[in-house]
Amino acid sequence: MGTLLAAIGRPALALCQGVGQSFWLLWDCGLWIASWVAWPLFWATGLSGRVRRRRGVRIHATAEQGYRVGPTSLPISCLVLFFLGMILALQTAYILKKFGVTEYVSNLVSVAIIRELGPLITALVMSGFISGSIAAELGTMQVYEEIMALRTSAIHPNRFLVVPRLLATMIMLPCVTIFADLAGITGGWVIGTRILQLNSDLFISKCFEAVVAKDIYTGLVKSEAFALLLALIGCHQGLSTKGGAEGVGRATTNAVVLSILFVIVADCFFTFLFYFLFEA
Amino acid sequence: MDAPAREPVIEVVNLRKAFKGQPVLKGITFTVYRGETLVIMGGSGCGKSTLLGHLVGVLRPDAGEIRLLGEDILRLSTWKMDELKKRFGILFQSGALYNSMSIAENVALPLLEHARLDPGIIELMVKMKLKMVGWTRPDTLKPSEISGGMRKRAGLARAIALDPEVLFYDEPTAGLDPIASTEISQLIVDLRDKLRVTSIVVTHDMTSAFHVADRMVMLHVGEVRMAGTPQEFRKSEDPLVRQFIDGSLEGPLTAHASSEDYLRDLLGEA
Repeated sequence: MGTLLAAIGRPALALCQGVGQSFWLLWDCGLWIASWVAWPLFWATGLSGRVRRRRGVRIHATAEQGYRVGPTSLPISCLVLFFLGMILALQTAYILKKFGVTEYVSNLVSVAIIRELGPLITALVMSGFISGSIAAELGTMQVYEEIMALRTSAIHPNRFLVVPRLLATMIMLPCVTIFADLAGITGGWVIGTRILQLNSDLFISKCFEAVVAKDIYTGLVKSEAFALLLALIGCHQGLSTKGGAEGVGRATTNAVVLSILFVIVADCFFTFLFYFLFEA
Repeated sequence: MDAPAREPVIEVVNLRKAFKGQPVLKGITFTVYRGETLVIMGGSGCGKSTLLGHLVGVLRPDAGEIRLLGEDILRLSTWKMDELKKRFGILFQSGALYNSMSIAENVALPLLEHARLDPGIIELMVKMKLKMVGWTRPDTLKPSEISGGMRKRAGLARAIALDPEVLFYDEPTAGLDPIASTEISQLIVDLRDKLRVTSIVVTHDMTSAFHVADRMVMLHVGEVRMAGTPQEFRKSEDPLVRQFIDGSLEGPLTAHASSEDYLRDLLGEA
């Protein structure tokens, strides 16, 4: 009985601790970003003399991270969504054919991809690109005392390393998602026009007809939340790496597994939220 | 050191620290004066790395006081501590260079972060610092492309980038061949003379310790076993200190368990 409780309790405790630490990380990064954003305000109102100036956000590093996250993962994300669009078109055609409304394939594909599958699958594909690679990089820096070196030279790792990664991911993931959405719809279009013999113009017009603005922005809100999760989990796992090469491996695995898990949970949460917020 | 006015730079009073109930530092007290080199030595697990962690503000003690450059570092705000951190430099055991950056960028980073200077001036300062530590290779190399000794030099150049008043060395000669080892030791002496920095060297390399030390402190199981000048250490009668300096196998440090204890240990009746 005791061992059973311990077997459940220990991971649960570790999870709670990790979530707590991640929130703390997010809070600290938020403060760095807020103080940077607020500085011109202080300056303009003449309060600048009374507040300590904190170091700002590293724009150049953010751009570098953005480049690492975005363009490199764009082809893969688009390719995955393209195939997914094809699968989706074929699978829905199977049912719709029975009702003789095969032309609705376009509506189904575009709505499913823009509302749900685009943001979700892109985030899952990117969990390795973002979470895993951040965890591996920061974990290696932790193991080689680089984080310690930063800390002792009064350079805060949260500002120096975490904030650029967080911002870059939050900028790039929605962008990649938009392209991936388009690739997914293209996949559907290829099947729709070549296999299902639908009219191309009709397919395209029905696609855009079916999608309303709300579908697009709920998709992007999700994508933004996933970006935050991916970057935060990657950074947290990386910074709490212990014990050499093995530790880096463990941190990377944990980062990818946890981000997949949390992305799905968050997706479920947001789907509920939007359902009751807009549909009910 | 027989300088007339001895201004204390680091004062450690009755420092205690335990990890998971296991005491590692059991009340350590010593003082370092301006311009001198203090060597902290002791065998593995004697608490010297833990002590260093406390001095640079990475670890917090359970009890005791640490005054660094006149500031009580345990009661400083983050902001004040940041200001203080700019006044000391650390050479890490592995060099702890940032692997994603070139050597020049590594040395330039503290300057870029903490000094508002023209890029041209920073470039010049980086060249100066690298010259000072005897760097002879191109500064565009990455840390992964250079040898251990060179990595320590580069780490040292980064540590002195902001002209610190105090330098901490964590095992500066560990993992180096004898010649590189002597070169680094000579560098520690040179920097003390050129920059008039106060240095704290944590090491168990006796050759290097006697090369660089003005004064020495020997730790043993979390306590100061002996403090004094290198001459005093050489003349010490304490069998424990003697054994450590001579590196002999027989002595109190390696006092083996009696055969009865050994048996009991083996059979698990301890």
